[in-house]
Amino acid sequence: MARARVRYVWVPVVLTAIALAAGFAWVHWTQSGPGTGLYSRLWSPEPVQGWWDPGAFYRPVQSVAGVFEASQCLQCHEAITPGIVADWRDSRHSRPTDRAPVACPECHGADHQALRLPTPEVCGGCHVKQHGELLDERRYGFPSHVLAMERAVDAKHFADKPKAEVQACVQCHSVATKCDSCHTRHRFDPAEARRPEACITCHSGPPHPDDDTYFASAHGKRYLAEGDAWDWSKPLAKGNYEVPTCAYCHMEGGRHQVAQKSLWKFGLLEVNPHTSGNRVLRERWVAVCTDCHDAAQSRTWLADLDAERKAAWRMLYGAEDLLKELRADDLLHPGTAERPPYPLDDPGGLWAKARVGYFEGQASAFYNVSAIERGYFEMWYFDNLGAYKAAAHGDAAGVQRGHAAMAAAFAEIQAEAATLRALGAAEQSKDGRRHDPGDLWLAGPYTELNRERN
Amino acid sequence: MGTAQRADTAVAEGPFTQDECVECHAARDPALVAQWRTGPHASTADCVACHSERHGGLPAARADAACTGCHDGAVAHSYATSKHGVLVRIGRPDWMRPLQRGLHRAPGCAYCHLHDREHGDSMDAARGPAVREWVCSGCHAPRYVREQLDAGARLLEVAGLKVQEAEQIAARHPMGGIASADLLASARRHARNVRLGAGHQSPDYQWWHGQPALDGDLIRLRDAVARAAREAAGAARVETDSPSARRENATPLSGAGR
Repeated sequence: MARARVRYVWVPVVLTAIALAAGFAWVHWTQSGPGTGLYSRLWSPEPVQGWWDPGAFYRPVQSVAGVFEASQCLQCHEAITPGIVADWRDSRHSRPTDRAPVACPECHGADHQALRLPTPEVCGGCHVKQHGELLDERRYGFPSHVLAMERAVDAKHFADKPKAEVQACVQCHSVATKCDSCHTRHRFDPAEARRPEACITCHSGPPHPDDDTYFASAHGKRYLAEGDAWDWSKPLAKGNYEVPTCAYCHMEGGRHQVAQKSLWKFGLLEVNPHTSGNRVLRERWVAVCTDCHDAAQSRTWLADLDAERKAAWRMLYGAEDLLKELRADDLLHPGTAERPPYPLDDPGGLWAKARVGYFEGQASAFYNVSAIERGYFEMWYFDNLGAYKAAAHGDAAGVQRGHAAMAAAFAEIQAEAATLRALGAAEQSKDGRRHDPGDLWLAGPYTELNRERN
Repeated sequence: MGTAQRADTAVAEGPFTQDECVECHAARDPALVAQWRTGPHASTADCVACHSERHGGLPAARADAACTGCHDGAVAHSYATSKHGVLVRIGRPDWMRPLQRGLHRAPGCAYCHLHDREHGDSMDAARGPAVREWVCSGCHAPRYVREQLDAGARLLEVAGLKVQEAEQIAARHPMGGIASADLLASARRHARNVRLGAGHQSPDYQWWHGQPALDGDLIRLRDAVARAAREAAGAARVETDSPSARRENATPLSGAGR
């Protein structure tokens, strides 16, 4: 009897141990391919990706052999790449006040056939506080700078699309894998990184018009008019700047954690802004705003943003419901079998899913979908996120434009849904089946290339 | 270079007409004037358009503002949001310096396109990759430049495939290609954005204004073709449904008659 009871203990323990080991082995196996991340076995990097994610993919050039000192590096590179030598000479690295110069070999190594392209770890060798803050940003989850590259390559459309095409993604997502996204080489001047323009190469465009919405705000207008004359060598602290810039609010006091006050999560998540955790975040915002503004006024602005988000999500859910109904009634054209599969899905596989209409992971729903789904993607990703950015940055006209665009997109989706229902009903009653699009959604040089690589 | 030339002879300040500029400079610097005459600006921008009608305007002609008056929209925006554009915007470029390697923190428009007194277009694809490699490698490692140029070419190939696909879909429209003219134009505009994004190193133009925008064009084109086919089938059905048509088709009731 006692022996039998012992079995109730050790059998589950052994099974759990086996399952855990198998789980770890599986994760290790999936991540040990030529690429990186969850789908590393499904893709190989382009040669150029080494410059965006040097820690994973940089390979030193083999055409020059030798171990060099800084003076020798400079002698050659003054002729080969004079621009970066001039930049370095103008940088604090070339003439620090508290130590010997930080010259080429300190960051790149001295053996020319084993050169490295500096990763945040290399910079962190000296800039310990900033590097530590960056690494610690992980605890705020995504969206954040430190997780940007991981999340880019773990997107299904990254694994799915031609690697030449998605190199466009890693240029911005490299903010996690090297420091010169903001601290432009080879001057690495904090005065440059503090200015709003340091952010706009990535924080621009339809899903995140941070540049346009900030420059249209009262803060941004004042910056544009007067900012060139300000002393940008001053730290991002109260009293040093007439108006806040991107980094003043998002990297308060130079803290290298943009996600530290992230309340509405880049607009990507619907959140309850009044959980106990989010109340802490709200007070962090109020603390920044009260460098210049009244605390009560700051809370009102935060409440305005909450209201804007609530209205936006209401419209998104309205559109989403229509798509779900169309999916349930098999009225989306093309249907599952008539379109290329959702990225990385195997329609004939063991866990085949019919991912049409709305589903989790909107970010992947911009291709291989029907027109009404694409319309929803654009409403979600462009109009909605644009409105959010405008609301968060104090661009009232931008909020109005965004919500007008959302309303127009919603009306279009409603009209389109009605048309799809009418067409579908007519075809069912007369022909007894769906319209057959043939290979319309499956043929074409790009679509075929993408499928072959899939 | 420009400063040296100004110093060697005393010339009047101006103003000068275009003919007067060319008359004098064709003698002083025939190669430069020939480049302008055979370059893209020959019919669109004369000397005074960039240099004003007075001497002493050389620094202003080197600055980005000299170009963006005409080259606005996607061309200017793709550059302005690139790292190069940002550094020129927030730096204090010394436009007295010639547009040569090692003399500028970041390239402005003219640094690349009118490099070192070039008066054609140094970035013209027809000039071949060697010119670009020389200009870019003033600051970037030679292998970096080659790999970036290759990556740009492959990115454009992908965009090219999408435009090809768009043309093939448009050709399937029951009303002919003309029915999809707007959508085709949109696809070509987005492919141009990809090119501007690659050339100006703007990830935003390569991606959001480029590749996914092209994906959207393909979806809308296919939808237009499918919709036209469905509506045509519906119209045919309505015809078969009308009493007169039904009489004619009374006997064969099989298979929906499509």
